[in-house]
Amino acid sequence: MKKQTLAVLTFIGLFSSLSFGIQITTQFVENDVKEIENQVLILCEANESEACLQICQDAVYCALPQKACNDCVGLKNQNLRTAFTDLSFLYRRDGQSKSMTDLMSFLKQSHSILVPYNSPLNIWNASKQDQIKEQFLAFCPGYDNNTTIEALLVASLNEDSQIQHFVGVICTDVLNNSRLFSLKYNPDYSPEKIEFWKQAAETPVVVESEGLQLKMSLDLLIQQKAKPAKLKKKNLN
Amino acid sequence: MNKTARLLTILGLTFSSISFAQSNSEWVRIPNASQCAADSQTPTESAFLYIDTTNIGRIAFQIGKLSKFDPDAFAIRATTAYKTRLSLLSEAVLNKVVSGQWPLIHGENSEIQALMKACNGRLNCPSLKAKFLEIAAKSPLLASPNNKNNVQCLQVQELSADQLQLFFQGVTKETLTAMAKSLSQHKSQKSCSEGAVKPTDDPSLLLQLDVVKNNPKFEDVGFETWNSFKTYLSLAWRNIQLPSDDPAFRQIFLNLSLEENLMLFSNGCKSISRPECTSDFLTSYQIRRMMISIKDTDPLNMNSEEMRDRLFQPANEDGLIQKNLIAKIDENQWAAQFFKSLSSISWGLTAEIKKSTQFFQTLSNKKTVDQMVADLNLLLTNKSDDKELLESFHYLCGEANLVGHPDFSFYKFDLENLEKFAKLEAVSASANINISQIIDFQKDLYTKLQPVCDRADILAQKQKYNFTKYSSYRPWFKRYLKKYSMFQALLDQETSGVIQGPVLKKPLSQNYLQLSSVLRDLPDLVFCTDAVDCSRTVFESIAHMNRIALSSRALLQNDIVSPGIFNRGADKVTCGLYNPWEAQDIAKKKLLMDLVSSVLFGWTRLPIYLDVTYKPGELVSFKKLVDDGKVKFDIKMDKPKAQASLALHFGALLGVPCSVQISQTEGASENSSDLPSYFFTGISLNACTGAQKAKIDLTSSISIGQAFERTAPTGNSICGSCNINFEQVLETSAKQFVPFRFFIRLFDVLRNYVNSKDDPSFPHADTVNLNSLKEAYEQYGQIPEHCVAPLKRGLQCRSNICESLIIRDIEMATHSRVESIELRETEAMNGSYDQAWISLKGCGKKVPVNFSCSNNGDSYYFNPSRLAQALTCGAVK
Repeated sequence: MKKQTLAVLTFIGLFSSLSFGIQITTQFVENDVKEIENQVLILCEANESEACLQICQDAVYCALPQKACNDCVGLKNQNLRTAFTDLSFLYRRDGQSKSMTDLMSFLKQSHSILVPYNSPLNIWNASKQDQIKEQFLAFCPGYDNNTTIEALLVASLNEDSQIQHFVGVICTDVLNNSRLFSLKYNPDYSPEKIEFWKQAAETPVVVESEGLQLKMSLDLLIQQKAKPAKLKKKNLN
Repeated sequence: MNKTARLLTILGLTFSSISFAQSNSEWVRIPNASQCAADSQTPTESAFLYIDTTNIGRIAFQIGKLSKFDPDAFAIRATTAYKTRLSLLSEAVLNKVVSGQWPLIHGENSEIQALMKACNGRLNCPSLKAKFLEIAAKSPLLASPNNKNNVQCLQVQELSADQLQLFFQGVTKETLTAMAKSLSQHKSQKSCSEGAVKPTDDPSLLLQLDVVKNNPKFEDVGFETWNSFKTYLSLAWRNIQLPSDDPAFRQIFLNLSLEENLMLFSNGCKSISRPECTSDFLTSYQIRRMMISIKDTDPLNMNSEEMRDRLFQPANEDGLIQKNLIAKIDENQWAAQFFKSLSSISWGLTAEIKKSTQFFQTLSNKKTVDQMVADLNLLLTNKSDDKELLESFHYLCGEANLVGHPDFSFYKFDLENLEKFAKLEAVSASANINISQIIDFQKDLYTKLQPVCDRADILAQKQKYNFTKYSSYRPWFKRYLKKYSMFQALLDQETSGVIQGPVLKKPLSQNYLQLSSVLRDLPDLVFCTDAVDCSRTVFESIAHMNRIALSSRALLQNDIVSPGIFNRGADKVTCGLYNPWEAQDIAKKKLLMDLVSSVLFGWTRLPIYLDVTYKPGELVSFKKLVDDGKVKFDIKMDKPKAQASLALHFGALLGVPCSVQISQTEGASENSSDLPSYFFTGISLNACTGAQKAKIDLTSSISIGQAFERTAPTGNSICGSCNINFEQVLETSAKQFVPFRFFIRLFDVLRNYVNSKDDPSFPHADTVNLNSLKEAYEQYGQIPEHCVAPLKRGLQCRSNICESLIIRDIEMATHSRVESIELRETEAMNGSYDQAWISLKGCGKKVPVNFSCSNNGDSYYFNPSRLAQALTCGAVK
């Protein structure tokens, strides 16, 4: 375990000149009890070590286990399907990026999950991952000038752990810096406001040390760090 | 062979309706179609559980790709773990329910039932989960070693003989041969608890679950038993871990909705759930029809009117269903076929809900009804002589009437069902609009559309435009028209390639209602291009949502779907349309009822019956019938509600005098004067249908004063005709009576009657002994024709039935096998026997046994108490 941590630190050190802030990704790894866990992986640079300590109880990185999205792959709740099909018609990015406090607040909420463009739960149009990725990225401010390389959707869960709304998007730029933006409905679609962030900010952050997992896949990390920064936009027509 | 089994044989032969567990027995009960239909009203002791792992396999494959696992191997590992966990859980949960260790979920006293109601059916609801865990803590799931006394669970690899009979209709040479072949192959079926499922890339697994506990009251609690099993299985799946579970998938499995990957259906004619004459029940029974074709028989392409109609139609396709079932017996593909059809329809439905709610959400956000009506009027003002525009109004108003007309809407009753739809709102992604808002929008639009339609009509008349292009109606409307062969023919004549699209070639605006994507490269999501297009989409969406609501409980709720795959008549029995014991009378009565009600009201198959003695030619008035108390309601229907509906639907026709005449003609030719024909002032109708084929042709579009022409009926024909004095009708209901519908209804009634085939067979079940069947097959290498009769009666196949009968009785009395037998024919009569010389196994000598048997076994007498002492020779006991 120590060896692995050292290797990660060394590796991160190598790339430190390229990145700053906090980077957020998701991964599937086998945990200590042999369970395949969907994790949010948080990597922090030196300038964010304080924030990282608060979230991870570690200045460098941690992995938070994500809840299952109960019955989300099915007919009962079509929200997950919407994420991969017509989300870009129904939602818009709402204002400037949210602060780190908001991001932390969100990450501590057990009633939220992150949905990547290549989520294994997409049984509907998994073959269209390139198009889905473009649609996710289009929510990010750096989309037009190709400075965003990754976009993760933030979904709020109801008390049954099913997706209720898409409340945000986490955009990661070419410097591997992740920022959070809230989402709102497309005004042409619905005038209703999504109140999630206000409520989330009001909820006190409670650090649950048991919930933190300090295990991660080094291979995956290397793979992600080594990804080409720029992606070509495709004409989806 | 033990005593009980023999006793059962006798009982089975004497009282054919008595049933016993089909599995693990040497006796198989095979009901005929009538008996099968009757059986549907009792709970089954045996069920199949079909498990589909396609989706879990897909998810695991993707996870494999994103992690260190080999995707293919990981997918197989996941599907195997899924099947294993379900096999073990199913057996254990059923055992808990059958043994009474977990309380049955039914009635007002059931806490679980109350919590499910409070939780609105949500299986992940915290309070429901807490209650379930309390029950499971009191009596742990795996703490019952004695499963075998209560239940049996088998993994079905290949179908056994008793399962095979389900695919055939009645006991024939074909049925017996298929069963015998299966027996000779010595298939073994693995118990569910015997261990893990073999890893395989087959995405499905079929389990057979049997209740073997002898419970004389099972008929009373059977439906609740299966219902409790389904609910507990859902809860256990989400909340209980088994020691044998593969820990890797604990969280992953929770992402999938278990119930949508399962199908629980009866192993035979009896039922899983209590049969009720509801749209949901009818939908689940229509699943049987999916064996033919999804496209043509989609049970969800119906409103409740059509659902009722279908009930009345004879099951002409039944032979085809059976044929397709048999063709897919191998590798359990028959169950897979049902499941795939079911899934694709369910997914299609949710896609439609999503599309419709997104449309209404956007529409209500961007447009008001007044705005839409103003836009429609503007179109008429700007292009008052544009034929294309007026034609599009013609279709809009026709479609709107079918949905929105307060008196004659085919969707009227159904709209009430849309309350159920509220529960489905979670399905409609990210939409805030609710169903009552949607309905209000539609009603408002319909009302305000009427003056616009009148205006368009006047403009069209002024220009003398005549619109008869049926193919320009939207698909949902055309599907309705296609029910009637006359429209089918007209539609066929028109270009089949015309599909709905923008109503106008040059819409007023290309962007009447649309959403744009944040991804600018993506084209807009256009809901409709102009006001006419948008209005038509409103009614179309209502029609779609309407039919979804009708089937929602059957296909989209939390419950595991339980179709009656092997029963063709259950829905008819349940809805009171088919009494297996009175099949012949019913059809005739139905014709009378249908004709009278159709002719009088232009509306049939409502839960209203006329208690009148019908005399052809008699002049009757609906008002008089009401006044005389002759109109009766289905007892299942709430009386005030029925009366309200009656007034609503037929109020316009009260007092309409009508003469009903039916005549049976034979060999009438086209110009024959034998064929009655009726012409009346104002309107006339002749509906005839012949033994071969006949249809009503329309010479031109239907309107008041135009007559139908009839084609020549051949052979036996039946004709119905009605006189409505239209002047009188116009006085009372000038605007509300719709002759158009009146005609198609009458025609439909006649067609149904002529097409219907009575099922004359009396309910009956045969009981076949599998040992006898196997012996016969081994002896002859096939099942010869002469073996069918004795085997059907549970007897051995012998040279004649008398021999079979006496062997059965001697073996039963002595508990020994008859090794050889020789019958002595009576001198007086051929084929009549009075003595048999037999030797029993282990007893060399032949001894005489007196009995009498003649008329091919119909007259048979044997008294076992007088069995010769000599039979108890030596080793024979």
